[in-house]
Amino acid sequence: MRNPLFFAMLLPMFLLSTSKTPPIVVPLETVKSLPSLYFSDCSSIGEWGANYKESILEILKDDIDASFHLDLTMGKIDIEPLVSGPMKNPSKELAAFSSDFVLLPKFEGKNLTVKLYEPRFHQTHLVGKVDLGGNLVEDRQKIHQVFDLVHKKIFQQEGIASTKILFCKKTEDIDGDWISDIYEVQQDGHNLKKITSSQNYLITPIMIPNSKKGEGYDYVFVSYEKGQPKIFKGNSLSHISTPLLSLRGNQLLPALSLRGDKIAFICDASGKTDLFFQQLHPEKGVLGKPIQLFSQNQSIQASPAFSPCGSKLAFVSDKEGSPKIYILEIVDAIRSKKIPPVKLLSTNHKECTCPSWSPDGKKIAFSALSEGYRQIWILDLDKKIEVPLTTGPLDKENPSWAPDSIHLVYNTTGKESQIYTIDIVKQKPVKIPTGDGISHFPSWEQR
Amino acid sequence: MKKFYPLVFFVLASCTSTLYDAWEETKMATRSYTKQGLAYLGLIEEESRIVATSQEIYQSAEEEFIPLKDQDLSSQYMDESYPHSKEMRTPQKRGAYNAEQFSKPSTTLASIFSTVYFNTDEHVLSQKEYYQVINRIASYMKKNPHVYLSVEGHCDQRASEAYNLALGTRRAQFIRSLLIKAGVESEQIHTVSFGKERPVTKGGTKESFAKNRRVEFKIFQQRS
Repeated sequence: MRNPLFFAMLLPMFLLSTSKTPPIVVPLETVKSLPSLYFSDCSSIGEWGANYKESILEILKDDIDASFHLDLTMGKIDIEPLVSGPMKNPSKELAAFSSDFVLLPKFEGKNLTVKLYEPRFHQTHLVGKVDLGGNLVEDRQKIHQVFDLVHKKIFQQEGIASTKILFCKKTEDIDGDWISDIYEVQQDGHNLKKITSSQNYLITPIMIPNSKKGEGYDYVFVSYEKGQPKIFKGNSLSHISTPLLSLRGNQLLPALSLRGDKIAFICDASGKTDLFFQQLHPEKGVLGKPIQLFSQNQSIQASPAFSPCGSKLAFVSDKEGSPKIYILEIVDAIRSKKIPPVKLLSTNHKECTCPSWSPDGKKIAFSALSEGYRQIWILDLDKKIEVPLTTGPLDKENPSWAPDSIHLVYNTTGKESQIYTIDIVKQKPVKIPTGDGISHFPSWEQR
Repeated sequence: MKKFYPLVFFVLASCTSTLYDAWEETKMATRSYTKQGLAYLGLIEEESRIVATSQEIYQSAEEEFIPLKDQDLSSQYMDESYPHSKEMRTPQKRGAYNAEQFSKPSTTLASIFSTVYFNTDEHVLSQKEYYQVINRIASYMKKNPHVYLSVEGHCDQRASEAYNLALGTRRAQFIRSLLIKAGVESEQIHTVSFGKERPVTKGGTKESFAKNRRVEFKIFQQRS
């Protein structure tokens, strides 16, 4: 007969193991204390009229709202005349507000001038001067760019208002064949534009970081033009595209590093579905040969994603049964030329796919099966916790972070294939109107 | 005692082969018995061939990429993984594969190039009738060396889009490896993965899913 104390000790453990513990909900950490911004009223109207002025200011206000970095106060007085001249006693004259910054828009003829005033130092900075064309479609992007400069002035880092989202949309032609082209849209859902007219099948577009020249930019994508899927490099203005790699087999699921100097992809050149890596040069294209980075017998590798510094790769493998996300050190794999050790990232969910590493390096978004549907989850790498970002009955896949590490874009699949943006603060999805067709594989422009 | 020295030397000398060599020999022997077993079951034809060395399989792959040199991967040749040919012996221009030249087999050939179907999340055929399809295709391809085959891997709608693109390559590659083992020239066969991009049916039932988990064949016949 054992000691009764032994069973007394076991009892709480038994009760703990059988009781259903409620899920731990931990809010995602974002910005703790926000700088305050006073949006000065603007008495000037400009040549395009009062309604147009209101539309322009509304765009600016929406950009501030969407940034989540500023505590906004809409002003009822025009501060501009007050701060433009020397003040005898600024602290008294500006006692009506105690904001960290004051935004001063001013319409003059066809121009909009935006200044930023800092009450603490009684300093005014000219942020941008916009030549308004009177066409809201074109002027919208100019306003976004001005806001991004305001953001940079305050935070020393550009905002995301003028960034674009690339995605592909497939449609069925008259003969019943599927064609798929690449589109761009501004992050706020405006200015949808088709950038390829291939009559072919193009998927997984990604803008090459730092490739913007004027309105044009370079991007990589997968094309079935040559029968097998191959990775191409294209330009949004010239519409010229060329194969990026000289490598046999199916080339799929490209991922670029934040600097645009590395590409990872999936290829079956060896006869297996392996993870590959290739150094890139902005002008020369590829540097050296592609490197077989990870391979495993009887398994499939998919969906690589670079860490912000480009030294690690998150990727999907079904080497242990169901698809899971793993991380490997790129340098180790290249040096040893052996299958590198990998670290299992997520174990709490079924079928974890499509990892996307946030540009701040602190989070990984991924898609996983949860109560019958694929949802977007966020893994906090520091705290080692996973929190759901989406809910609801549609499957959600292919998350892609915005440069601010707060916003994401993803697509739904199944009954409705559409593009949505979402932020990790309000967690409210916003549908990007993309018209008829199946829209998917979105990627957010990186800087 | 001295008379045993030659014997000791002989025993020691026989132990110099490495574990890796022993593994390679075992593997080759296993492959041979596997082949004999499959032939006995009628799953592969008698004139099928065994690719003996990694060099033969890899061909000139190292010209294009830097492969992993891991011993674990040396067993990949047991994994039915045949690297893609550098260039496909294409109908008109060597190396330039034109998808538009390939089409679904005509009515007379449709019975040979039948679509084969897979179980959920699997890349290996499970039913004997599909191996018979592979045998029929292999026989036709060997008799018609000017026919080129595009093997298209498809998936159902349930797994994610990205993962399915990878799974499609695996399914197509498995079929390609069966055809090569059955004696078809590797340069005659090309694989393409469409993932779940091109479903034949859009329904959400088990039957619809089963119809979409498939490998389809398209052919091109070069005019002599």
